[in-house]
Amino acid sequence: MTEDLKTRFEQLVADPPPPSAVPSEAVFARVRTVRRRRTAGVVTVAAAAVVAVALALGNVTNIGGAPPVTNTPGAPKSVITGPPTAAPKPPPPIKVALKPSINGRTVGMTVTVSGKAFIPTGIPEGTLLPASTEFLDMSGGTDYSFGDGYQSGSDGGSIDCTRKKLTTGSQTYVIPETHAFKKPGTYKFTYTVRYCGTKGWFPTTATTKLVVR
Amino acid sequence: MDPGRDREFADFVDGRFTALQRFGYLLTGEWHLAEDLVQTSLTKVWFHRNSLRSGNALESYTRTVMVNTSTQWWRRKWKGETPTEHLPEPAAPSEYGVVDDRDLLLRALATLPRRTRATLVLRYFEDLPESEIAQIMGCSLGTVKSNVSRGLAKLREHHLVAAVSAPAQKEG
Repeated sequence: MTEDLKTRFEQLVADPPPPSAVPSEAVFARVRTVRRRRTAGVVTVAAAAVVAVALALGNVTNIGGAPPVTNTPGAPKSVITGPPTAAPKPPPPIKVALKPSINGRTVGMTVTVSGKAFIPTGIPEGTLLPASTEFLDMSGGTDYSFGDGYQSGSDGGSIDCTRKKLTTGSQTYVIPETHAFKKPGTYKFTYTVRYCGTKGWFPTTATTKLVVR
Repeated sequence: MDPGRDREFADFVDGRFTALQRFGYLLTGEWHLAEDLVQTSLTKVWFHRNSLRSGNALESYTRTVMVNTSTQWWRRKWKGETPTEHLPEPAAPSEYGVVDDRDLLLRALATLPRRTRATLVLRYFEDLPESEIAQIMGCSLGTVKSNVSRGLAKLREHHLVAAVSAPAQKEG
C-alpha cells in the first residue's frame, strides 16, 4: 500500500547533485575546525614571539629527538677517561608555559605553546595543513589533569606526522573550561602537548602548582 | 589519531555520502542543506567513531545524528522557513506533471513535524523496520507507529497518498 510513497520518495531523490567537494575531505576539514574550537577559545599571540623563539632554538635540527650529530672530518676523537657523564640535552623544541588563574576553588588556565615542529599532513588529503593553521592546531592533541583526578584534553584530529616541512610558531590560549576543586589543598596541574618531530609525535609536558584555599 | 581508522572512516564517508545525502534531502527539502547536514553529522560522528564497532552501527548512528541535527536546525529556525498548515491547491496535471508532483510532496513533507517527517522517510524510503526506527529516533515503538500513522494521515489530507497509501481495509 505504501509502494507509491516509496516510489515518490525515490523520484524525489533520483538526481542528487554531485557533492561540492570530495566528501571525506570536506568532513575531515570540518573535524579539524571543530577540534580547534574544542581545544581552545583561542587567543592568538602576536607572531613577534616567533622570531624570538626561532632565534632561541637556533640549530635544533632533530625535533623532539636526539641532539644533532656533527662529525667533522679529521677531527680528533675524544677519549673518555672518567666515569660516563650524561650527554647535555638539546633545548626543547617546544616550550609550554602555564599561567593559572585561581578564583576561590575555581581554576582556569592560560597556556602558551611555542617552538619548532613539523607541519602535519591532513588525512586523507595527504597535503600539509595550510600555512594559516594556528600553531596549536599543528599539534597532535593535548592532555591535561588538575591533580584531583579530573582529566581532559583535545584530540589531534585526522592528521599524520609525515615530517616534510618545519614550522616555528607560538600561541597563547585559554583552556576552554575552568575546574572547580571540591576541597582546598595543593594540586599539581599537568599539561602535555604532542607535536610532530623527527621521530614521530613527541610529547612536551609542563606542570604548575595550584594552591586552592 | 589513528590513520587506519581514519581511512576506514573516509571510505565510509565517500562510499555512503550519496545515500546519506538523499536521506538528508528528504529531511530538509534542499540539496545544499542536505549536503551541509551530512557533513555536519559526519563531523559529529567522527568524534564518536571509536565507540562504534561495525559499519552498520556507523551508518545507523549517522542517521540518528542527522535526524537530531535537522531537528535542532529546525528549532533554531535559522533557515527562516515558515511552514504553512494548508497547502495551496494542487496544480492541474501538465506536461511538467512529474516535477509538480515532486514539488507537492516536498511541500507536504514541509508541513509535517520534523520527527514525523524523519519517521516517514526512515520507514518508507529507507525501508527500516519500526524497531530500528525507534532505536534511531530514540523513542518507543508506539511513538514510531503513531508518527507513521499521523504522517500518512497528513499526507492524505494533501491528496498525496490518497489511494495507494490508505490503510488496508480489513476483510470480512
